[in-house]
Amino acid sequence: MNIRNDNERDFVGLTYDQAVIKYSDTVTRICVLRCGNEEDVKDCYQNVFLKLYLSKVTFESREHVKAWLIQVAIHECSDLHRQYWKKNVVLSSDNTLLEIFGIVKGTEDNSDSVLEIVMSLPMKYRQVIYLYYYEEYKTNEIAQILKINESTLKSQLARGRKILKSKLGGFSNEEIFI
Amino acid sequence: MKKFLYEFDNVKTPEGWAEEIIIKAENMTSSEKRKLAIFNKKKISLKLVVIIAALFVLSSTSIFAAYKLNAKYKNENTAQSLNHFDTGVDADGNAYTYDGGQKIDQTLAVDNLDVTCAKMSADSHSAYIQFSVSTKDGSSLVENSDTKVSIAARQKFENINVKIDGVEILPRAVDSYYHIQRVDDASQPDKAELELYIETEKIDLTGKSISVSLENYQDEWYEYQDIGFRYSSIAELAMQGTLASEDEFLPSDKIKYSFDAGMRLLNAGTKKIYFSDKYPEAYIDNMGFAPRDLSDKDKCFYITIVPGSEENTKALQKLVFQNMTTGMPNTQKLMSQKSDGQKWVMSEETLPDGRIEIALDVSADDMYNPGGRGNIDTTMENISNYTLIYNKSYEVETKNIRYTGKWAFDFNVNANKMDTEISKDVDSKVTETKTNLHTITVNHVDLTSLQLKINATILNMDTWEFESFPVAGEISSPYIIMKDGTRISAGIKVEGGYQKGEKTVAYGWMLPSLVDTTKVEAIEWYGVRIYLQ
Repeated sequence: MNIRNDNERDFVGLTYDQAVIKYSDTVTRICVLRCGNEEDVKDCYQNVFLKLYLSKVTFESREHVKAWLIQVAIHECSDLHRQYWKKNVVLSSDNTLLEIFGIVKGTEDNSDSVLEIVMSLPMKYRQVIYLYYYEEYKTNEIAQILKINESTLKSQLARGRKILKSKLGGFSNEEIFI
Repeated sequence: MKKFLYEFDNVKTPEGWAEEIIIKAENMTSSEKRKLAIFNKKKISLKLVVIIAALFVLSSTSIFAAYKLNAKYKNENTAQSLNHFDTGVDADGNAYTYDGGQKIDQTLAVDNLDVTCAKMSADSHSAYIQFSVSTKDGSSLVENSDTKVSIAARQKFENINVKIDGVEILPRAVDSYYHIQRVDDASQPDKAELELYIETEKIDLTGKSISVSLENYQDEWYEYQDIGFRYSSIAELAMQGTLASEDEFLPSDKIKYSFDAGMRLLNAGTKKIYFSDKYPEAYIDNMGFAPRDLSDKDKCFYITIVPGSEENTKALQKLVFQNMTTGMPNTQKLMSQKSDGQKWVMSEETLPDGRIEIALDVSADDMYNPGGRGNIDTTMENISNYTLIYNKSYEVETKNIRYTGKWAFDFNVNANKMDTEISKDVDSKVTETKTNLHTITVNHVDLTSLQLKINATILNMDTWEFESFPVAGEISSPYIIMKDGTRISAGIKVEGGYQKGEKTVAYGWMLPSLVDTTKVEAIEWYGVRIYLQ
């Protein structure tokens, strides 16, 4: 009988441990964007990597591994989010969450954190703005990851950018995105 | 560096998390691995138990809170009717509240159920009467368990009887009408609000006595059976293979067998996704997103199932997608029709090749498409909140009397408390914008707290031209302008029209929220203000 040894699984040249280390921050960022408290972030983070450990997906490239992890992270967070009691029990505010994960409210000149403002956007805009500007995915790639129509994605991106710009009175477009 | 990027760079995995998950993954037992698909569900259940236990300890009157949390599904009225007494929102987004009407405040208690007749708003021939019901002991009005989910919108009294001055009126007659509807969102499991609407064409309600008898509070529910679905959601199922491209969907009217309109036929696929512990031979061979039909742009999520045996076929025809928050089913099934060459047309719940095709369309889900206006795309985000379950509702009785008894209320329509009716002759010209051709002279406006009626004349038009005049549904809704500037829409429920051979038209709107007519200044129709005071 051929028994698979999960420890020896190859993720396009990476061992499981190396894959966790390499993509750890990416998964954390997705979970921070989509979860309301530290406990949920950790739950989602763990579920994502446990699923990677057990996955039978044949990864074609490291980009494929990363995109798969982002996709699983988004759905893990949605799973937690949909729970009725989660919607009614808020354990900590987004600001507290940002402080826990390394973003201190306000910069030296006391201006608001851009990330804080990103976190105040509706969920669908948060994730597309993150994937487009930070992860630098193309719109067709984000559409593939989120399994939504590319034109829907583009309108979400445009709308998210518009809301963001309106909230960021003090910043120019270049300072934020370019 | 870019401010935005710089800040995201600072979001790091807390120390120890990566190491912890590596150790956890390596030490997972085989049973933990099996359970991973339902990992979240199990853990949340455990947390719920802890929270419920804590609530019981912390509060001696914790029954209500516990009922809320103990429910598997969120208590929600997914087909909520309009609450006319509720706070409304005007055209500019400002809230307004109706504080007129006649207080009744009678409460009767029978069989663990308190029923209160709270308030009435009446004009001469129609009335809304507000009722609230609540359990005496705080227990839940709805059943909300693993296998049963109450349909809040269908909770009602089994029998209703209405008398005006001792004479019974009929609920659906030429000159009388009444019905009762549940109007709250069902977020409080032990309470419900209902609204009784009465219309009496020939009887002027002013000063009359009204008797309302409500008998037996009835519940109706969906009944389900677990199929041992192997994934935490439909989204996770969808991630088990490549999704079909739109080319793999055929318009259902283009194929050999006749199919029910409204869905496409998904080609047989090569996948074998075994999805159910209860039906281990059954598998999903293809799945993907596609619109319903050629004229539609908005997508549904389709799956086709190979049942694996005849016995399974029968059972799997009862599979439905279920919203895991509300517990409500949401499924369309592609039905094929076969003719025996004579006159009989047989409907089959399977495709000609034996597969079962079902689709999930969140346009029909009030949680994602409140009010059900227009269609929307079904997305991965949506389907992460759905599962597959067996719908037993058509095999068992799914309604019963939850509280037995009769709650009978008597009160008079106080003429002094009836809302002032505005009835005013006017002479204002407006131009309807549907065709932009017709000038209308508004001759008369009747406004009560419940409804608005307009009588008008069409100018510069021969009677034959009425064919081109907009039908009632195309006529724009007027606004009611309050003295404080609030602009309240008269709503979309328009009735009336024109009569051929005459140049007069009459339209009426039942207002979505009641208005205090003493505070009304004007109505506005097609941009023209018509002053009423």
